[in-house]
Amino acid sequence: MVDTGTRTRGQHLVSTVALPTRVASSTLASTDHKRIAGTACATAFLFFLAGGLLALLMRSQLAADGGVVSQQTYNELFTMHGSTMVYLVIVPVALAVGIYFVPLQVGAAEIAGPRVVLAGLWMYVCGGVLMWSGFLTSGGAASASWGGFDPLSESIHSPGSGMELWIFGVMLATLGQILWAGCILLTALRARAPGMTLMRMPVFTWTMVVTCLMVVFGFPALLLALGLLWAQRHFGGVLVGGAGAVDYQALFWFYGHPVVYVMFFPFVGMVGEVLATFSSRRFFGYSAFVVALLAFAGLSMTVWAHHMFTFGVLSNKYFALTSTALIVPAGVEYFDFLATIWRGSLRFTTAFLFALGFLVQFLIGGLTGVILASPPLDYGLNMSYFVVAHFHYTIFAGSAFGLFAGIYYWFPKITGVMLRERLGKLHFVLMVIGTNLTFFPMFILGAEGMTRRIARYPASTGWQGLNILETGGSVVIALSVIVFMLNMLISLRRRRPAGDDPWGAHTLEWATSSPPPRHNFHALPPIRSYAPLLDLRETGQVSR
Amino acid sequence: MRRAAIVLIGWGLWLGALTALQAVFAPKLIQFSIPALASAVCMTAGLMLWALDARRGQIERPRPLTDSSLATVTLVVGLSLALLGAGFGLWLILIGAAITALGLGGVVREQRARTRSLRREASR
Repeated sequence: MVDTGTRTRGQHLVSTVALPTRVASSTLASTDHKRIAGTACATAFLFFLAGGLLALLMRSQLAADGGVVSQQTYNELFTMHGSTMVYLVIVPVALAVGIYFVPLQVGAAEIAGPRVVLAGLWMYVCGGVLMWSGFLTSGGAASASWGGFDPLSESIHSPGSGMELWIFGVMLATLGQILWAGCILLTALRARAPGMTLMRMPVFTWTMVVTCLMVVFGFPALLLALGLLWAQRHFGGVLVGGAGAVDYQALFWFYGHPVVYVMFFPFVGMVGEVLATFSSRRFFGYSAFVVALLAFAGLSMTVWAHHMFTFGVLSNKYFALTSTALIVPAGVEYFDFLATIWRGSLRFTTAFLFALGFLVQFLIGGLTGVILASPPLDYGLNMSYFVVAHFHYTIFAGSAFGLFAGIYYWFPKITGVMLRERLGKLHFVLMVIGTNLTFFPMFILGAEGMTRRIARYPASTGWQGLNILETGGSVVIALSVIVFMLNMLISLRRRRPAGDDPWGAHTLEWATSSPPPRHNFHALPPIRSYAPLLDLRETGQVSR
Repeated sequence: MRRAAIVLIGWGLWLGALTALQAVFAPKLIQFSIPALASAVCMTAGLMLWALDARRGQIERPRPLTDSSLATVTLVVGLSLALLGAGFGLWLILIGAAITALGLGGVVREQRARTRSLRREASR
C-alpha cells in the first residue's frame, strides 16, 4: 500500500491510499465515484439497447397483425422490456448521473461511502444479468408484467425458474439502487464544501436529494413485496386470494409510483441546469423551486393507489385529490423554467434543444396524467393504450429527452471532448419525429379501446394502420439512437478538446478540469450562491 | 451540518401530514400503514443524523480514500449467489457463502490497511 499524496481543502485534510491494483480491478473495482458512475451508465446503455430491441420486436408483432411471436413470447417481451427500462436503465442512469455529479456540484473530494456505492454497482449488474438469464431457461423469461403482479406471478401461473430469476434480479438491482441513493443523499447533506450551504446547492443536486429521499424511503416496499411473492411461490398462504393481491399491489405501487418521479426529478434538474446555462441567466425562482421539489416528492409518495382506482377497495377520493394536487408543484417548476429562459440570451445548442423538447413533450405526458388522476375517467381508460401513451410521454418523451440534454451538456466535462453539434441536432430531430410517431397514436388507440398486453387484435377493429405508423416511428427512434452512437464514436476518435468550461456554465463541476482529477478539485472558488461561477463572471473575476 | 437533518425531519413530517390526511377518507390499514411507516423511518433517520452531527461537531478528521476494492465486488457476487441459492438449492447457497467469506476477509484486510494509513498520516 502506498500513499499517493495529501491535499488540503479548507480545514479538511484528505489523504489518498492506493491499494495494490491490477488493470481489471482498477476499472471494475474502482471506488472512484466517477468510474463507478461511468460503468453504471455503460451497463445501463447496453440494457437500453437490449430493452429497445424487445420494443422493436413487440412493434413488429403489432404491425404484422400478430404473426411474429406467440402470446407467451409476447408476454415475456413486454415484461422484460418494461422491467429492463425501469429497473435497469432509467432509474440506474438517473442515480448514476447523481453519483458522478453530486460530489462535484457540492465541492466534495469523494462520494460518501465509496465502497457501498461500488457494492451497489455490482448488485445492479448481477441483478440485471439474473433477470435476463431467464431467457436461457426452458420455461423462458418472466412473463407477469414489470410489476410481477400476484396472482399472475404465482408458481401455478408462472412456473419455472424465469420468474424466480426475475424476482432475485429485481431485488438485487433495487437493493443496489437504495445503497446508491443513501450515499448520494449523505454526500449532499454531509459532505459539502465550506460555503456550500443547503440553499446554495445547485438545482440538479436538489433534484437528486428529493430523488434519493424517495428511493431510500419508498423502494424498500418493493423488496418487501417481492420477498412476500417469493414466499408465496414456495410456501403459499402469504398472499391469499383477493386481499393478498390487493396487499401485493399496494406494496408494489408504493414503489411503483414514486419510481416514476425517480425517473423524472433528476432529468428536471438536468434540464434546469441546461436552460439556465444556455439562457445565460441565473435560474429563476430558486427557493420556490426547492420548496416545490420537496412538496412534489412528498405528494408523489401518497398518490400510488391511483393505479388501483378500478379495484374500488382503497380511498379513491384521497388518491384522486393528491394526484391532482401534483399540478401545483409541477406548475411552479414549469413556471421557473419558462421564466429562466424568458428574455434570456438563448444559445440553441443540442443540449438546449433536448431541454426544450423535454418541456413540451413532458407537458403532454403530465396533462394526460391529470385525466388519469380522475377515477371516473380512469375507469374507462385503465389498461388501455392511453395509459401506455401517457407513461411513455413522461418517461421516454420526457425523461429520455432530459437525459440526452444532460448527456450533451456534461459529455465535455466527463470526457474532455465535445460532441458534434450537427450530428446532435440530427439526433434530436429524428428523436422528436420518432417519439411522436410512436407514442401519440397510442392516445387515439387507447381512447378507442385498444387494450394493452395483447399479442394480436382482430382485423375488424381497424387499428392496424395506426399500429404500422407507430412501428415506423419506433424504427425512426432506433435510427436516432444509431446517430447518437455514431456521434459518440466520432467525437471520441477525432477529439475536439472541450476545456474546463466550454459552455460558460454556473456550477462547481465546471471549476475543475475536464475530466476531473481523482479527487475532483485542486482548488475551489468562493461559493456565495447556487451559481458560484456565474458570480465570478458577474464580478469580473473570470472572463466570458 | 445539523441543518442537513432538517431536510429529513421536515420531509418526514410532510409525508406524515399527507398520510394523516387519509383519516378524513376512512382508509384501509394497508394504505395508511405503508406511508406512515416510511414517514416514521424518515424522521427517525433525521433525528439520528441530528444526534450524530451534534456529537461529531464541525471538525473533520482526515479521511483515507481507497482507489479500488476487489473485496467489495467479491462480497457482492458471493451474496448474490447465496441469494440465488434460495431458489436453486443449498449447493448454490454454500458456494455463495464461501465467496462471501472470501470477500469479507478482503474487506477486513482493506479496513486494516486504512487504519495503518491513518496512523502513518497522523505520525507525519
